[in-house]
Amino acid sequence: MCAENITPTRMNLLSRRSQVKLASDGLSILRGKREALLKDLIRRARLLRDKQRELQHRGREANAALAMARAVRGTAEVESVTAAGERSLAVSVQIEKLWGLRLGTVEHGSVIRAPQDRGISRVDYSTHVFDAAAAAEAMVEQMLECSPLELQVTTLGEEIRKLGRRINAIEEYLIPRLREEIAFIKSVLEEREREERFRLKRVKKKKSRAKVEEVADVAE
Amino acid sequence: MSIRTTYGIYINARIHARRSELLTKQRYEELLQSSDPAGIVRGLLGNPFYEKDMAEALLHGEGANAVEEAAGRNLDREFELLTRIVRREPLRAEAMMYFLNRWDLAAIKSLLRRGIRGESAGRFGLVTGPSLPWPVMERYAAQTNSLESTVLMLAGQFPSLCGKLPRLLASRNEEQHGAEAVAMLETALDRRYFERCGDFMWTGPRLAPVRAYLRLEVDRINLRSVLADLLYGVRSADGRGAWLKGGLIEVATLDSFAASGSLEQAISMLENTSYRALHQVFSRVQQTGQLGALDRRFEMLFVERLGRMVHQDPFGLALFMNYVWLKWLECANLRVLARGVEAGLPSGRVREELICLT
Repeated sequence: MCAENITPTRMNLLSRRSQVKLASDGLSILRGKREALLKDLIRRARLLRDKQRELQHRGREANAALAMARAVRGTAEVESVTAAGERSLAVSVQIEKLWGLRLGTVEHGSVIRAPQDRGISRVDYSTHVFDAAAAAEAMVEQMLECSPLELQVTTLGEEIRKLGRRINAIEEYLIPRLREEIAFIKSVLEEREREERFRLKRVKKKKSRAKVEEVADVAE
Repeated sequence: MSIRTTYGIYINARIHARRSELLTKQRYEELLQSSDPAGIVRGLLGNPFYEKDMAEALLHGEGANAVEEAAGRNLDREFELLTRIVRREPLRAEAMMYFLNRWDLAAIKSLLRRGIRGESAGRFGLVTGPSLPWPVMERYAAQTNSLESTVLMLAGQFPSLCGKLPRLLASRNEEQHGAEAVAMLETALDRRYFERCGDFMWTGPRLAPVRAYLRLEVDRINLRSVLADLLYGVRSADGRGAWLKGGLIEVATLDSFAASGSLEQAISMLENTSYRALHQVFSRVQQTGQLGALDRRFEMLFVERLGRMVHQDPFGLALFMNYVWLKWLECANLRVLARGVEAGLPSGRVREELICLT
């Protein structure tokens, strides 16, 4: 909005001043929120980094264990055991609230099964296949740890970016514009005051000249 | 006690000849130098014993999959030949076939597991064995479309091994369905095989190698159960498990292993058994939390013990058993090489899994 389109009244000046105060207060709150979210983001990102490192390690282990299981027992036997061990995994999603943000967390039991829960013989089984299954389950468990954290970090990052934009908008656009408007109103009001004073001076001068002329007329 | 019939001597001569053709440690090392599975394919194409199988496998796939298929085809052909030879050997046929059934167990189990999926499974996860080559497996798979029908078919084909399975399946409780029912059937099948062997192996001095081998197998299973239970902490506190009988380690000893409550204590208790040489393997299991090393070490032990028996009695059953294990290990070694190279595992890790005893 262009400053020239504003009605330069005292009322508007007071309103703009209160708006500047409100925007400055909002700015400091937003900065505080961004600070807090940043701290949280860094904490979670560090945690995620460690967990991802562990995930990569477990992924490599699972890959090697699967390669060895396929090698020692044959792909067909691994597939066969996989078919017997199919299951669905129960997880519950909880919501954590942070500065009005809804962050999801996943709660789950132990993913790694004991040998007797794999749906195959408890007597004669291939330990390589079991090792591969356990390694894959350990990887899945780590993925369940990592995935909500990754989503939380993304959500927090998005929110911080949004906050940054808002802070920038207030700091770089709203407050300067309001200040500009205040300056404009102030200058117009001062101009008006000067004009008024000049007008009053001229009236006073006119009146005193009239009075002088009246006195001269009376004297004649 | 050896049997020196003309046919027995002929079998021994053939097996000796085949054993001398197995891949050597040096050959494995050469194959291990390959930077990709294609190098192993080339190596096998240059080997007269694998040339044909490798060429046929290359029609269906490439790389590690082709190597695996070629090794499988070669093993199937070898099993077929051995089964044919064994059936003409009147005096030891039963023992030899029983020994070969060891590899049929995996094939039978794959049919049972397939029974959960029904017809949709196709060829998925079908494993072959000496009595169950591909054509037979495919026919059986086509004939069955549920767990019930699979069990009935198996009971008809393998009455001594699977005869009791239909009754067991019918008596299962309501909670045992799908994979749980299969687990119950597989456990019963294994018990039937090893426990029947337990009775069978004590009769007749001629079967000494079978007896000695099965004692090792039973010990392997029992020790694996102890380790798995301690590793996962699943057995009851008193440690009394359903151990297989007939092994070198007494049931009471196994109970005390299980009751010890920790791997460290179990390892220290192992010192008092004939398996004290496996101390390192147990320690490795403890360190890595993986049981794979135990199986490979026992497989090595089987071959070593059987090899020693061959020296004691060159015309006995041990030669046949030793050769079957060596051939199976050769097949596994080729797969280890191909899969290891494909997965980019360090050569040291691949070498650890190789069992080269020729």
